[in-house]
Amino acid sequence: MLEQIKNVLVNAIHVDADLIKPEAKLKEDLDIDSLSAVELALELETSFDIRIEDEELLKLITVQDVVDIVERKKA
Amino acid sequence: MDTKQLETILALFEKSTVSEMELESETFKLKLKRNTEIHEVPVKPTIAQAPQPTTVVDTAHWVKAPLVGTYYHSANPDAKPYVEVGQSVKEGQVICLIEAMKVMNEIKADRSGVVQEIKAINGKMVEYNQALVRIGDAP
Amino acid sequence: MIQKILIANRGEIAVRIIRACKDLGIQTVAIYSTADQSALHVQLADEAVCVGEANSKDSYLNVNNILSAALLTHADAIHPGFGFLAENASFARLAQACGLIFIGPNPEIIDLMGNKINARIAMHKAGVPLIPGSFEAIPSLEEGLKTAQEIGYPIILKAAAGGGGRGIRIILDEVAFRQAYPVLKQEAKNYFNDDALYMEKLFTSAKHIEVQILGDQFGNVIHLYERDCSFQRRHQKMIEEAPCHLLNETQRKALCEDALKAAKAVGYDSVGTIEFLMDENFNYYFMEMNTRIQVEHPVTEMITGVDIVKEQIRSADKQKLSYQQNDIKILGHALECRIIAEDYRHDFKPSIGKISFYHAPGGKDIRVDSALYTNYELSPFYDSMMAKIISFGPSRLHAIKRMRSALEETIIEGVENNLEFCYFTLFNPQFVAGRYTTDFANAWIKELNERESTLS
Repeated sequence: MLEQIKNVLVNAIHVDADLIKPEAKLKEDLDIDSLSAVELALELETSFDIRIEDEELLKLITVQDVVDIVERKKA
Repeated sequence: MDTKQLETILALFEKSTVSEMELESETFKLKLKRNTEIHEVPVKPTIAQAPQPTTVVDTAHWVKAPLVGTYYHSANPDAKPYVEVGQSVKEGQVICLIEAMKVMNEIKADRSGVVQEIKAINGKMVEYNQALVRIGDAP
Repeated sequence: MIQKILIANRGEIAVRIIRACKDLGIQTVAIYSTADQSALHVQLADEAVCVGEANSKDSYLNVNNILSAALLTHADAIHPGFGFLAENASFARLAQACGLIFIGPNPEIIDLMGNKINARIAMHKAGVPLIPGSFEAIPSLEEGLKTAQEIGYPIILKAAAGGGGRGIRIILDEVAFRQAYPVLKQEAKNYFNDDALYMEKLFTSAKHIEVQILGDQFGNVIHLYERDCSFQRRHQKMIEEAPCHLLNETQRKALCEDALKAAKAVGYDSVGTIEFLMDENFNYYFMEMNTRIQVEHPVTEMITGVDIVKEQIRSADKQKLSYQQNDIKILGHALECRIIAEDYRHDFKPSIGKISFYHAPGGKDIRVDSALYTNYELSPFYDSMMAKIISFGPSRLHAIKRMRSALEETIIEGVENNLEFCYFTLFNPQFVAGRYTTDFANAWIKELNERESTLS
């Protein structure tokens, strides 16, 4: 799943692939501002056919959080 | 530029094969184009207010189609055409018919004068605003 | 076999229809008003006939001149496009009486769907969920007040013969109802010479979803999935998308099947669109059916690969649909921005004048439907839409990003326009998230103007 999330971050949000590690912080390390976060959520919704509510999006701090939420929603 | 000069230029242009000619001086600009009306474009003089040239305003006037339909120059195929070139007409006189949706519409001359030209073709479609018959001043 | 079509329209839709005809090897006849002498559709058509003065009622609504033009140029069919005579049943009947094919559904359906009350009754019978509201013309003010009480304010009062955002009043309470009722009755009489009014529950914030329908004259009817047209300013659509990002597969299936049920119930035999309102719990309600090709049809063409105008012509030409339902797949996501000669800073007051310079965007997955060209004179007689810019992508985010760069590249000088407004919207998180509803655009315009006034 990390690989798939990495794909989305690189292709859709143009994050540098080398920076992407489970513990990397979206805002501080990957420079994902509030708009890019919404764009990330949008792309994840399309790629995995899931819904990410606004409040859930706010709680996503690290890449691992993203992996967890997608796995939870896909389960 | 008085009318005599205008006529000589016109004669020259008539004889020449030039299809379009433009002549310009400080007081006026003349543009001649083959088989269309002569455009005389008065240029606003920039310096002193020179007297406007008295031009021969051609009061010839096209009667235009008020609707889309088929143009007929006569009441019916065997009848004589309503008007012919050279014939004088009075305002309100029927000069042709336009058939639209099976209804025959009489088209009337909207001024008196002499028929100088008939451009529309009998039995052919005419579009809205298409020039049909030109009526000018009596010679 | 249709070999020549007269297009009773102008602007970008006339150009779009001419292109479909060229694809099908069909001759085209354009009509134009004296103000549209140098319009693009006149230049592209094989023949062109002037049908009247600039004012629409003398030209693009001049039934006699249009029918004469069609008959005298030996056209086999008339394509009405949208607006103008597109949903005028008597025009359709007159055309047919003259032996011309009217490219659209049969006139009875136009009549049925043209009257919003009859449409509601027909849909109710077909078991399609309806917006709570009245099933017959409101007989009197008092009766109206009683019904409004049952449905519960706020309600929306509408002219039965209305459409296109006209003849509508939002009513918040009884006092407002007493005031608006007589005024709207008069307005409906003036605009549609039919003063029948009906009412519906008002959804203050809902999604406006419509399903594209394709039918032929052999009883085949399919859908081309849905469009999200919720980004509207005062009931006028401005940005449309396909599909609706919020719907999952089961919700989409249910919605499209209900749309098909509605279309089959009336024996729909052409291109049409069924409009629904959807609340936050994904309950959807029938609103109205449009018996014409719509402005926003390109987004559906981009995600399905179907040329809807071509199918419309084939269907009118008594040919079978070239697609079965399972041939239709959603290939990605598409967005359309309607570029209009209005600017949000001046309350979208239409501006006219000469287009001193026009550059259209392009590239893979960018489509521009327009009749604009440099030095074109935008006239005040017709609506202010100048171009439709459409982007496609494998996902909604891709389509949005492509539209951003397309808008960046677009240049329209000489008249005010909403390019900048559309561009800002594509960076608005609420829009990007895809959950915006029909009240979003008006609030966003207010916010932009306030933010700007504090800056300047």
